Amino acid sequence: MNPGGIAFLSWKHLSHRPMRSLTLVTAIALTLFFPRALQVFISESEDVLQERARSTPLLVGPKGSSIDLTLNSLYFTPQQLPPLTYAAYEKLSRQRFGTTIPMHSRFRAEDAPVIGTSLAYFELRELMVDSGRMITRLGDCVIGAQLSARKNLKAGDTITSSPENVFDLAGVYPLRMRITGVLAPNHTADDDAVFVDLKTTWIIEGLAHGHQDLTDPGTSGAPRESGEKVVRANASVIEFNEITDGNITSFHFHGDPGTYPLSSAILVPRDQKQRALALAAYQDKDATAQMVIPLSAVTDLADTLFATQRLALAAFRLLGVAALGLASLVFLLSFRLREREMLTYAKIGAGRILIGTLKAVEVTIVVISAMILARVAVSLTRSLATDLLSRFLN
Amino acid sequence: MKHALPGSPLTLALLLISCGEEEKQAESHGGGSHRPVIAAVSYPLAYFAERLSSDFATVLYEVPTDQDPAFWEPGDEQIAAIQKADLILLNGATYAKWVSTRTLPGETTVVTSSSFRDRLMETEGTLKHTHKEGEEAHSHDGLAFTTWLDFKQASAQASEIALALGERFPERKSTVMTRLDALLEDLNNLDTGMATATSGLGNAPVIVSHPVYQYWARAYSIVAPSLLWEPDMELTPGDMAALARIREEAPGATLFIWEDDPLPQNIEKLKRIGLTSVVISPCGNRPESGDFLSVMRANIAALQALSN
Repeated sequence: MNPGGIAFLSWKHLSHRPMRSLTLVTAIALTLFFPRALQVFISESEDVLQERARSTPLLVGPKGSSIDLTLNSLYFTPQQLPPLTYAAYEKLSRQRFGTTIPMHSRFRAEDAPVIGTSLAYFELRELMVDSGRMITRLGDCVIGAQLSARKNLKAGDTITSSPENVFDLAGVYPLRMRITGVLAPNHTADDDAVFVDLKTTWIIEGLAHGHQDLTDPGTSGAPRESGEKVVRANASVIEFNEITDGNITSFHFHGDPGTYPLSSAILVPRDQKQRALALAAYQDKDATAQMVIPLSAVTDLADTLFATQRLALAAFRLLGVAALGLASLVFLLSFRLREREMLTYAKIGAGRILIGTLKAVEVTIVVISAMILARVAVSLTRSLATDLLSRFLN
Repeated sequence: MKHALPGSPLTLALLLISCGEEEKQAESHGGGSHRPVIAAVSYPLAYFAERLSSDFATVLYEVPTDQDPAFWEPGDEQIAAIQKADLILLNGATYAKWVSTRTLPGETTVVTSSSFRDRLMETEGTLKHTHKEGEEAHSHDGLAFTTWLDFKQASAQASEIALALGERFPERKSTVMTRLDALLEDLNNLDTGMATATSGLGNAPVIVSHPVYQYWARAYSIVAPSLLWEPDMELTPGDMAALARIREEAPGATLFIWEDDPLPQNIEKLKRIGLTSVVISPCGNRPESGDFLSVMRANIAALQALSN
């Protein structure tokens, strides 16, 4: 019998019992897919984490877990550490090690993180405005491409910051922000974030606000204390929840700016010498802030992932052996059931080699189909790894 | 042995490469096709920047001449242009109120009064308010901001600008420093001239029409109680009563200082009660004629004329 005939007979048998064939293909494909997918996911995750960490030379933040600080600053995960003070940030800036970029990522809007920062952040991440324009004032924001697509938001729309707790009426200040632009995608956590001026996050925090002119006799709730040059505003004085051309001049800050909070600060040293000096400056055990090398923190995280990966791979290998054993059993039983069919082949002149080849071709078709399916699934995993990682982190 | 001749293709290629490199360097350091832009929030800062960098940079100063730069509100497009500047010169001391509500790049922003920030003066007599019980009362007026009327402070601001220019454009540093010497000499002459002119006024208080002369008064040891008058406003009986109260608090004043030429009838009204009007322009905005130096020289001349 020619090879075409053997393939035809094998195919006919496999398609005659489609459920059995599909189950076999799927079982073998999954057995091949899981360990490889885990490897690919962890490898891609490591690459993605390291790429972003590499473009963030140094981080300064409050003392605590360096991984929490790094993930919060790079992936805008919920802030676990206490805040860094603005005084600490100013001190870092004054030391002139290089470019300092403030980061404040405590708040959210439409489930997306609101990142208070400076214009230098956009340069660091090479973020370009795709449509609209860059922020120019308090209350302005630019949003990531993915957020724009997901929420159907564009330049000219508004987005409101979310209260942290709906029952905390005196808590963070919901602020309606003007979207001035949408950023071009860079396939990182930036694509799903809202970027504002650092001072805007302080307005959301309630450290700055705008209200009616209290010296205006027409303003309700502005009684003047007799004998003193002090006006005590009561609850009827209207505070603005949106910054407009008309009320922007009324916005002002309260308290000592040195105590205002930040999540962290990115430091881009001018050169290796400044990097070494910066690292040395934060070695003091009494320092209230720590300096972290994000790449080291991410490498530590990757090492933990690798340890987990080794355990998972061992488990997958055992499962794989069991699954392949089961598949072999299915084939053997199947061939046992088809003994009469094989006898018929022998009676019409097929030799033992031909019958063996027929069986081998059937097994090969199933295995190759499973391998192709597993390969496709692994490729899909590779392309989705970045998004999956972002989702896991958030 | 063959040598590359001056006109050979290899020499030409090397020349083209080296020219390209020079252009790149020039562009990155303020030369070439990209002319650096230096934004300033007040005219004195723009003037200092022009004196120090006019041959290699363009000074961006867009405040209309009929507006006070301290309270001018720029539009979004103007902010976008300022954000792109290679250097942004701020006065500090809460001058240019818009700065606190706009987004500016920290790396290129220079607060020119930072070297004397511990000597900035708080404004007095403004209405304070609180929002809730127990909160400390505060006002939104902040600090006195006409820092340059003390010419020693003006010199410090000019030096800060020169330092920033030298850091930003290192290849221009020596030129900038040479020009700074000349500028500092001019400012020093103004300081000496103003000290001489004000010494002729004696110890009598000088009443000023607007609260913008705090640093001038401190620098030249002058008692200068302030009103809140504009040069082009018609004086009402209420205004005259306020003036009378100030004269009671600071007796002996014979001189009244205006920011700009007052209405003739106002000069007459003050003259009738024994006050001589004189214009000391703070020159916060670009003058219609002349420049910062000529306006300040005119201020000194006006004071000297009183002594003669």
